[in-house]
Amino acid sequence: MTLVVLIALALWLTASVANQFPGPWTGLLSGLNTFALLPRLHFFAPDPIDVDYHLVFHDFLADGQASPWRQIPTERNGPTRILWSTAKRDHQAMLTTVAGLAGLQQSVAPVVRDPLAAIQLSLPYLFLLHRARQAPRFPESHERQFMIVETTGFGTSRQVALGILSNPHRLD
Amino acid sequence: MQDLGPAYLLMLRICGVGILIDALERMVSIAKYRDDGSYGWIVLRQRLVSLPAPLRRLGDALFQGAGRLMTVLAVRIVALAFVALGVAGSPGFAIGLTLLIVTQIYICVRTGGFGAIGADPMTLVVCGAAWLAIVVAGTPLAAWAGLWFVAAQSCLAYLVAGVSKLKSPAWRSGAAMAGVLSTHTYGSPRLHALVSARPRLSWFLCWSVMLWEATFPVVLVAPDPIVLLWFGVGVLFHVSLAALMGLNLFLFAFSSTYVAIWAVTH
Repeated sequence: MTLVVLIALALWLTASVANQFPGPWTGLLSGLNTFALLPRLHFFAPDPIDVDYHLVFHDFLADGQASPWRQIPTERNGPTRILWSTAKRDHQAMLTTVAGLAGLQQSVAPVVRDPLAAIQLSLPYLFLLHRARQAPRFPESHERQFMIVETTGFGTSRQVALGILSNPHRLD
Repeated sequence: MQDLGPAYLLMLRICGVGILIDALERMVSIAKYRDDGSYGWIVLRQRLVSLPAPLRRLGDALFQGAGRLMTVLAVRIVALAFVALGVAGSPGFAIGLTLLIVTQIYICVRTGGFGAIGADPMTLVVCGAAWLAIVVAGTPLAAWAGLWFVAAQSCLAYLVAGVSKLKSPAWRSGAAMAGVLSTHTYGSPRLHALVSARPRLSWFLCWSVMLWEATFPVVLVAPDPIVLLWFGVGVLFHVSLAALMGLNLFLFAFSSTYVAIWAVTH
């Protein structure tokens, strides 16, 4: 049994090293990453995370009018976050989602027959749509459109940019 | 060969603090895992649509709703108590460690990688190595190899992080620190103002992080004072990230690996 364990540890370490570099093995290793077996730890590198992402939405009412844009509130932890941080996974989920959609836009959309469907049926898109749909609606709302807004900086030096704009989706 | 049981126990106890905090954080946030929450199974199950119907039904049976996850988190806390308070190699320890791994994999599959952070795989590295070495093999050679495995994974993680920053113009110029600190998520207005007004400070902080990370593997061969200094900087680094960015679980997952490094080099 010792030999089996030594081989398992060696294979795990080899796969972890290979996982740091893109290559023909990437697809094979992605299966293992479903179980978070392989660390890929670049800690804000090579591109530092220098924007915040905000999920905003508005509704189209029955008469065709659009409601004002509203933001899905983002949880923020206070000074206790050194030990207690329930918001960190939400921040990471947003980063993963935006990166996933950007990857689809760049690499998948150009090579499929229906790029819009490929994006709208993707899990990152459905994740955002689901979050946007959970926000309260006006009684007369019948479609909802969401948008990812990128911001950077604070106060008067804050910069805002449009990241992703969805199609309107029926609320029924 | 020295008895490595105490080293495994200390490593698992430090890592276990993070496991406990994570389980409690998820429990108080359980509403996010209901079908009307951010991580509702109703959405995350969509990645199973290409699988055969029996597998989809199995997925639904295992992961639907938030109640099952709540139960798994409770099991995880009990399992952690058996590991942290047990004796390495005892039946309670073995069952507890096995449950810790099974429940971690359950959570990973349930959440589909949404919200996954770098501390998760390192936690699995620590628990998985201990499980393979102590529970599966139970021999001194396997125990020694398990700790070397954790030490190697730790050095790999820091080395890769350091080298990827060294290749980045934003990190080399010092702009990266001001950039990260300019976000609400990971920064603060006061710190952003501080480093923006002092480019040399930003440059110094960037290069300190890059060089410390990239040279971390020296802990495998350096004399004890250097090793302790590198570990001290590591703890300070992770405490800073936890205080500033809320990345609290990295502190426990990564500092637990320092025990493995110390054990295999002494």
